[in-house]
Amino acid sequence: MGQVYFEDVSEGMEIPTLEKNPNTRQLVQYAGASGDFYEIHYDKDYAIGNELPGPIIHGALKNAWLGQVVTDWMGEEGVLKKLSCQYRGMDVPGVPMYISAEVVGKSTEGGENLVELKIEGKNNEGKVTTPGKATVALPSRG
Amino acid sequence: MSEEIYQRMLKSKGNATTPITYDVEKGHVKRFAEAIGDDNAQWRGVTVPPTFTRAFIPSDEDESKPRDPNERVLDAGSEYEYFKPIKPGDQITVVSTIADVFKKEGRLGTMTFQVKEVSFTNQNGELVATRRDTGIYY
Repeated sequence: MGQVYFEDVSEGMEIPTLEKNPNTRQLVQYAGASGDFYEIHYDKDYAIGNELPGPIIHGALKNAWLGQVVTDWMGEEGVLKKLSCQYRGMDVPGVPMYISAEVVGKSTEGGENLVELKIEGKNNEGKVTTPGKATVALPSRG
Repeated sequence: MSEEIYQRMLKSKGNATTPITYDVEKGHVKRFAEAIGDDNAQWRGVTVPPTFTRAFIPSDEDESKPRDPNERVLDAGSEYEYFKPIKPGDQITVVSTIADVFKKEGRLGTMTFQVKEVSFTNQNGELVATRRDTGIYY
């Protein structure tokens, strides 16, 4: 994907959706890489003992995907300023997730060309389990 | 039990952790990017993925031991703000402060919400990022 410029962006524009197919192996990999070894993410008996349906995806891993959808789009010259997400629903390994995002605002502040994005992490039933927001600074063609 | 958690956690409001410093290692960044499934070339020696600061665990969170099964916690969300890039070779110091503790009644009974503000400062004393985390204890 080439570099996106501030002038190319308009409100309501959607950026390319990211698809993820998490499995328990990836949760173990993420536990190792992040240092978050909370058992509910890979130990089925432990998760069930915590009144959960089984192992659940680390919120922070979903947060990483909300970041990835933005950094994939903004290009090397884009700068991520803010990223937030809320965990409204649990997601489990074996069920695909789709991360989509839309431009909801544009402004120029202090010499920076800022773009606001609304992000949605959805499960395969279309339920938004992980909504979020991001602000990026984009280069200008000018 | 749940009320007990709230009362205990309320006392910790305002507490800040002892600073802990981490080296940003290129191989660690690579393994993190592989774990999240993100093959962006920027994560191979230039800078780090936006949520890499997760790996800089504050000094009060001991992940080397199994968790107390009676302490149940769910992550409710995070807000990151970025001020300077983090690069391999940097040394990042982490301090986590308990900004707020409040309770709500929910499907899991009394739930205690804890808001932590985490700061990340590099070897030059520059604040590179902050993160505000909300956890639910039940």
